[in-house]
Amino acid sequence: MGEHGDVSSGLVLSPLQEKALEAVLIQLAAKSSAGLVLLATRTGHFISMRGSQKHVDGASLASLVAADLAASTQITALVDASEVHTMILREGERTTMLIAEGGPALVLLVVASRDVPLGWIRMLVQGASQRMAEITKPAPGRPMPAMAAVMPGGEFADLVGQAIDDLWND
Amino acid sequence: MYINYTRREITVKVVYYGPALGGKTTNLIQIHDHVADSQRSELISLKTAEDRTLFFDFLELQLGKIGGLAPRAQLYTVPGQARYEASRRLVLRGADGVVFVGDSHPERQQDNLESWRDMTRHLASYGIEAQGFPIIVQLNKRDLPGAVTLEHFRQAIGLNGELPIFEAVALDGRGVRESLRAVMERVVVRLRREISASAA
Repeated sequence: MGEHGDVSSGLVLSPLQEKALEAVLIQLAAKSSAGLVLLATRTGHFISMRGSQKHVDGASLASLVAADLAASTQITALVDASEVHTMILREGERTTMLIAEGGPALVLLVVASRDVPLGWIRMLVQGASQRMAEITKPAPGRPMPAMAAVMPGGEFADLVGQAIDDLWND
Repeated sequence: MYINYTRREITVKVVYYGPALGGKTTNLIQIHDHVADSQRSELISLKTAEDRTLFFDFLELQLGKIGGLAPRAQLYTVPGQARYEASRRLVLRGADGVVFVGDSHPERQQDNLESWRDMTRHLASYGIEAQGFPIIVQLNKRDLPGAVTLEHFRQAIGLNGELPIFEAVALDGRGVRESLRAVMERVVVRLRREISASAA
């Protein structure tokens, strides 16, 4: 995945890939007893969320988690260009928070109780990150639904414009 | 851009770029205030103690069902102050479209130019040519006494005649919806074109 915003570099997941990612999230949430596990793209698009902690604004959280990782990556580059940090750890009084890369396209947030050993969570997150990187690795010949079938043509742009007008309350 | 086939969602990212105090955050506040809670996220602002944007503002809009799809728009602002250049580049990453918010004050034209150059340089660093990329130019603060003419603004930042300029008074909400609509239409047209090209 490249960094720029065209279709060839944006993240497009097939239903099979989505299913596989969801399975990794479920397993991670169960094994880590995490209150919250969130998966987003590196550019801040929300993908999925698991855990016992409900009523969290996933879209906002995804944008902040991606920004946090992007800022930390940039800090690493400024401090020591030869180093690569793949995980951010925050320890609070009651919870531990880990933000980790899931390959070049994804970012993962795990919030778990301090009662769960840090080494255990770190090992689970590393394993999940590796599996996610594998799942989203571009593979020639991997069956993908026809993209043209997903996005209607013709007047779609006009309809989007109309939808924005309809959202607007004066 | 992120496409979720199973939920038939397409999420695009639009960044509001421009000089400090030009009205980028005001655009998002107006959008937030004019859209029902059920169709938007909360407005997230990472601000300094002086109430200036430190990293970005964020707002997500859900556009309902269109042609069997559920499009979403993620709106970001960048921090306008010169010292936050590295943050601006990070926020631009993965952008599908940009609203450039210029300032109508005659003394801010150099700031407009520097911000425009800063934006095109950062886009180029991601392999994006400004020409052909969905960019909307919004000239804000049109109610200022002595506001520059559109022609003056065009010359100040070196715009050719192809890019339309949307006049705005973001504090009153004027021109905010029109700018958002225009950038979203262009984003969708470009995505559609690229999807067709990738299918060919």
